[in-house]
Amino acid sequence: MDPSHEPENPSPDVPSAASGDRREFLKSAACLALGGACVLAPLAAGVTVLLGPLSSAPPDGSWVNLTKIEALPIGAAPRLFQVFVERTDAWTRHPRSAVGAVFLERLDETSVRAFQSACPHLGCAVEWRKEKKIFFCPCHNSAFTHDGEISGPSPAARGLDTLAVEIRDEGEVWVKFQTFKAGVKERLPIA
Amino acid sequence: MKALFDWLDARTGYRGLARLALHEHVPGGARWRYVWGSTLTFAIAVQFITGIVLWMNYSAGAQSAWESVYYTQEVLPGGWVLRGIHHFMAQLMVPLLVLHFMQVMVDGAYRAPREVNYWFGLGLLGLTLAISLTGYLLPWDQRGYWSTKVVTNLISGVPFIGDKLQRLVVGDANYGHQTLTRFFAMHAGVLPALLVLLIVGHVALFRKHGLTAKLPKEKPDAMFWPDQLLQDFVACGTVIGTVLTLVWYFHGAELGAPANPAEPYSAARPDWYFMALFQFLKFFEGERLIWGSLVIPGLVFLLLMAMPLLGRWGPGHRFNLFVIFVGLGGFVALTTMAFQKDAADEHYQAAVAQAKRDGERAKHLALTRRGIPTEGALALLADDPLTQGPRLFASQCASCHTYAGRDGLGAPLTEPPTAPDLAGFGSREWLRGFMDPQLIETPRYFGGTAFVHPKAGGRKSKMVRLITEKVPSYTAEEKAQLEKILVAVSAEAALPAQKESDASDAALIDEGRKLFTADALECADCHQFRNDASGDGPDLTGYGSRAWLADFLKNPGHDRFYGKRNDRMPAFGKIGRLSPHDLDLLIRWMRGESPN
Repeated sequence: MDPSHEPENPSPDVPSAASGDRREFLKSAACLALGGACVLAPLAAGVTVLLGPLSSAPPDGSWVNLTKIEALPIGAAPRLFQVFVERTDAWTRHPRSAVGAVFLERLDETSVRAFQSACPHLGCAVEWRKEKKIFFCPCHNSAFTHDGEISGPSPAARGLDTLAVEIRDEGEVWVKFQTFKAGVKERLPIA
Repeated sequence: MKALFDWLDARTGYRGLARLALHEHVPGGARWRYVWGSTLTFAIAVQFITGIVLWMNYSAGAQSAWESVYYTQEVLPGGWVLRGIHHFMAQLMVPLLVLHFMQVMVDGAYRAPREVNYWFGLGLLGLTLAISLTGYLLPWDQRGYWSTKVVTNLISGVPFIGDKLQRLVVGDANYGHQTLTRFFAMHAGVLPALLVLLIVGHVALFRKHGLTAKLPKEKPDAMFWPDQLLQDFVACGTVIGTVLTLVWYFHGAELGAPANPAEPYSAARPDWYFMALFQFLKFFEGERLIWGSLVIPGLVFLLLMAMPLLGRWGPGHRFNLFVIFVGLGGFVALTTMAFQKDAADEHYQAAVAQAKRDGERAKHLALTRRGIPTEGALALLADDPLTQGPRLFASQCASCHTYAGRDGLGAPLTEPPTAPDLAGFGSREWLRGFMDPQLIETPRYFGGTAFVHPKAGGRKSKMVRLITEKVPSYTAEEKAQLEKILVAVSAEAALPAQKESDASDAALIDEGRKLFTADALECADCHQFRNDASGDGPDLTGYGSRAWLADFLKNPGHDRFYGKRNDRMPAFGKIGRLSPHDLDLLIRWMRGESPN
């Protein structure tokens, strides 16, 4: 159509119905496509960064020296040790960052047992209740025996998480500090 | 002036807009039951105003979040009121939401043609709770940290994508900077933006369908302006009045001890309106957890969503009301149950008190040190004798010793003590009790030790025998000598609490020292005291001083101290049970050397 013949105020129903419909449809489609393409770039960039944490390396725990074996008398109640590791929290490197706590108990001359203090139910810190000789979670009342097994009806799906222990030279007690997925039966390391 | 407004109206049409906004038809006249929507709008406005100023003073980082909130609260003038209003308004919004919801349900305003608006309302309810939840973590104190951990662990229970979802929400495998930046962006950006969008839709749809009048109409119809608005503002005034009263009464919102992943917090609880859900979770064992955390709450939400559709059929409305009231009853019952359990739980009470003390202490240290080191407020507490001393005592000493009859942290011991009570160790009073024939054999001093209860065939220690056999028959002069010696020995400790009396009694102390070395009361037979003599008893030179205690704790079985006669006191230094840093904190706390 020659633009010079166009009326001042073109009314949409001037062209024949069929070609007009097609033109309208193409215009709408182009509009949506172009509009979509415009927001696609920032959206894609945003989503990529948002999903960034998913691509971080799988966790492997870290070995920490908590004490000496002589400091744990045989027959004494489990004792809580704070765990500090070298850790990089996003952009900050901490030479000594508090990450959790571990219960240590001397079993015999040469062996030490370590329990992660995070409750396998939902991650609150369990306490040693000396009067009943159980581990107890003050959040949802999960209870565990002295050996870390589930005690009675308990919200936790599994017993306390045992951590690997090594006694290294001169009786140093080294523990592999790990965190496990909460609320499930299997022991799945997550950090 | 009129000309100016006329011009403005011609350019903007503001008068028409104002008329549109205010000339809402209120069938049956203004009523108090219609105020709840307005109070919620008001509450949200208050949260925006206070929230934006809080934002201007907030720093979302693991070593700066607590610190910046502390600064807002304790240093900035009026900061505690600002944060208090934000906190308590959030608390009050939940009952306001419930009232608004109940009014809509009871009056049947959720039914056709207002279904979509009802769903908008449910969306707003969800958003409000999500904003509260994300805001709970931001102060980065122990309570927010440990309670939010429970929530993000619940997220990992979502089928199939739970682990990934949790990772996205937390931003890393562990809580840290990324968790705070995300929660803050949600709390102050994404969720409030959605909230505003939904409110616009909610109000627009409300105006489109008009008010659902409570029948029968009691009064002639009225206009929103000014009749209903007057009542609305009275209600808003009551709301802000209540909030200010709460702020004043509690002196602002609580700021607990800074978050510490290595310091278990036994009082992790969500805000009060989530306590019902918290209590609910206790009933699900093992992997049935998902029923309590997702399935049942999800079904309840779906049922709420379906209510306008259910309401179309005959008894539907009554059914809905029945469900709502039963649900509300359940909510109240579970909440009450949770609070009652906590009120009766002494472990919980002790944990709350401890957290409060730590929080106050952290704030106090930050104030008196004129700021917080770059490592954050945790470093302040980690190097503070008053914070760490009682903990170290409870974990290292309280299996045998007491401190003022307790374990150092204030809890009673489960078994009778087997070693002396160490509160005031080295002070004149402590030593007077020690030398008291009536007291030495009680559990406060040597009552639980081998010095009083020797192994079969053995004898009580020389010291115990001296105190129980000779001291009672001391003459008045000997008693006076003993007192002088006690004062002299106590002066060795140079306790801060005795600084003044030690200074004013210098002559007395000098006399006591001379009496000691001159062996007036047989002390020097066994004890070394400011000389090179040697004996079987512990060296009393510098007794109770920082250096003496450090050496003693490192190895009480050393010849200078108890030697072979050491009872069960462990050699803390030898076996590495206490690091030099911890040893120093413990000693300074025991000596009352805690800096302000």
